[in-house]
Amino acid sequence: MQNVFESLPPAPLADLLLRGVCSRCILRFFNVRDTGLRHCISNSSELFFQLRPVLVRVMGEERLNGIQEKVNLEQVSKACKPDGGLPSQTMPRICIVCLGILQLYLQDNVHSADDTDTRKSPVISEVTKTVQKEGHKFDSFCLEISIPALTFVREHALWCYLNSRYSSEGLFKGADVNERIVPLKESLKHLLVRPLEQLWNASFDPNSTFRVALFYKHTNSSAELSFLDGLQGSCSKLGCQGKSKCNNVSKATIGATRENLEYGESLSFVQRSLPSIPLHKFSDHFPWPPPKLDAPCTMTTRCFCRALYVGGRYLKFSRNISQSPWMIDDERKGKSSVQEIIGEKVLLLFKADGYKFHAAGREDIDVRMLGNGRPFLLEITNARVIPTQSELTQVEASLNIIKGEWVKVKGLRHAGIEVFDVMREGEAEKQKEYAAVVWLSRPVSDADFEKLSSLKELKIEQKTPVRVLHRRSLLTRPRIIHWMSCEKIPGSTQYFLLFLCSQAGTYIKEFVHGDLGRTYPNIRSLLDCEAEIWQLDVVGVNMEFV
Amino acid sequence: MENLEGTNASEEESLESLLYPAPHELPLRPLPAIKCNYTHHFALNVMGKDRHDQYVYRHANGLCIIGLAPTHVVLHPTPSVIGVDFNVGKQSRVEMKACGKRKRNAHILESNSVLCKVMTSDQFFLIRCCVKGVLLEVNEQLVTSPFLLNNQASTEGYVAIMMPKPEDWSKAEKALLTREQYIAERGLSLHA
Ligand SMILES: [Zn+2]
Repeated sequence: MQNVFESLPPAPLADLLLRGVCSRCILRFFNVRDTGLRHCISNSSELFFQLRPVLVRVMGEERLNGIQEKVNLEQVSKACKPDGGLPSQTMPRICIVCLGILQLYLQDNVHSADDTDTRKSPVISEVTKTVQKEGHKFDSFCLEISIPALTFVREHALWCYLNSRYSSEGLFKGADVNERIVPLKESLKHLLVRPLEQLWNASFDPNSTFRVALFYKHTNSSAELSFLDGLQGSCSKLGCQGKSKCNNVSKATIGATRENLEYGESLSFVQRSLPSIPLHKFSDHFPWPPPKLDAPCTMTTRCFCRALYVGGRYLKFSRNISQSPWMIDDERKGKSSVQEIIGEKVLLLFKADGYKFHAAGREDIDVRMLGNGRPFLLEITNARVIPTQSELTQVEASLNIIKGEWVKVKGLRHAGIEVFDVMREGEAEKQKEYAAVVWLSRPVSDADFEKLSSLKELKIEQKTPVRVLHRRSLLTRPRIIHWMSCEKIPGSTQYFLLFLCSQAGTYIKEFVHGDLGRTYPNIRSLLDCEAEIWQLDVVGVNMEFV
Repeated sequence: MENLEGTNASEEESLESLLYPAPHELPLRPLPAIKCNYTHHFALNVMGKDRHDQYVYRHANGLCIIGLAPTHVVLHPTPSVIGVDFNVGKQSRVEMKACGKRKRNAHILESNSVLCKVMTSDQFFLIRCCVKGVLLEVNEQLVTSPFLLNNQASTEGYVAIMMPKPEDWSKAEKALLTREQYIAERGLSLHA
């Protein structure tokens, strides 16, 4: 493994080691990916001690001493006493670039000498503790790593130094460090993924719904980054953009809440703007190479299951249960709701933190939902368990056999987030079928039935019904009644059953009684007599769904 | 396959039976929408003018329908409205509607503010708000079909929809009569 280092240009290698750049960052700066990265000693002073004979052989003792003098790091020279003693354990070397992030054994400022086995590092045990505490069951996982912007500034500063010192030798050329080195996050993932896979018996998958997040913070961040604020007008403008961008990113990543974001943590902004700052200005504000540190980054972890979706259709046989909890002035009305009856059951199955209920439209509380049912989607937050399809089917069956339960479910199954759009699009386009019991102020006749069933694609104009006008805008909406058909109700002369199919968003009760003439035409006007609606049921929501 | 069809058939059957109400459960005549969704209130002799009777139908959501009570003088002895004019006050009431969910540009009218002018061949009568509140809508239908006031004043012939604040409504309600009080006061039969 040391062969990797023996093949690197000796002078800059010695320079970097002596300045306290960890072995993993050295490999990053030489753009070496993968090779033995996990199994090298990260501590630069110890690695220097081990490599010293090779360096002496390649470049001669005199030149090496020259570099060493130039670096003038007392503690390093002390650590590498001629008697060959190991560097003192009480003198930790925190990497001046990664702030200790890649030195996985670095904790409480104590650095273990042998840190080649990453499996036993405090980082791994910390993350594992978090995952065990949360109790998720998973066979794949994804890592979300959040690092301080300070690491970019220090990478840039080190690059500027190396470029100024060694570019004449054909090394470290180019202005933008980001294009030349292995990113810190990539190296960290490299260190962590394999050991975690083995330990957790799960595979790493960037698309996994199970997210494990590592947040690194450093106390120096605000002090060392403050120069960015006042540097340039354009920079502060960029800063604003950067901050808003950062907010978007934080929404996408789990729990990257404000408290986890440090001052100036607009990462991409810092990273992008650094190469555009004139070098003389940058060197005024930040030393090259970057200075030593008293303390490493601190790390916190969280794990979380991304939203999962379960779709199905529901039926409602009651005229007293609403779709969602019915609240008036924060006071609960009605016993239960479709949302709760289905949601609570599914929540238990997933051992989740919560759920959101989305449905393709809704019916009034006093309207039953019959026929093929109404499509719905449950959004499940932070599930601990992902049940199988047969477990979902079992829950569906157990819900449907409850005697006296007014809500039933059909076709409960896992769904993707794309079903959301299917439902939203379908909501606007779908046709709905209803059955209404209608009363007329005179006996119902065959002529009435013929009149109504002859009307196809009937255009009506519907003003916002009075019953919802207090919370909706007053508008006149054109709506279409696609067809109507009528059935006699045996034993009744003035009531009949009206089946109708209408465009989404049509208010059916108002179409029957006319809502003071505000829906026109209506059954009253079409049959030229008084008409009232006794009861209403939805019998079909015509929409393709999962 | 047979089994499946069997299930569908029985499902359809049970849907049918759900949709048809038992005739004995049906009332002879259901409570009309205007009665079951609203409480009815009346203002008699509005502004002290004899038989200037109006109704205020209040929906459970707080909105009030304003219109001419059956005993309004213009409807007696024979209903004789031939025109309705909303151009009263500084601004036509048609232009005055509040818009949007939040009811922007809301104009608050007082309970004695005029909503419209109802005309017969030789007289006119002023119709007033009866409650203080935001004017949400006037029935523009009346401009082209004023006869709606003659035969359907309590439904299609409504004049306006107002949204009073809860505290303003509590005040207004005290000054109004209930349907029972109205019937007694005007000596009407119960079916009025
Ligand atoms: Zn490092």
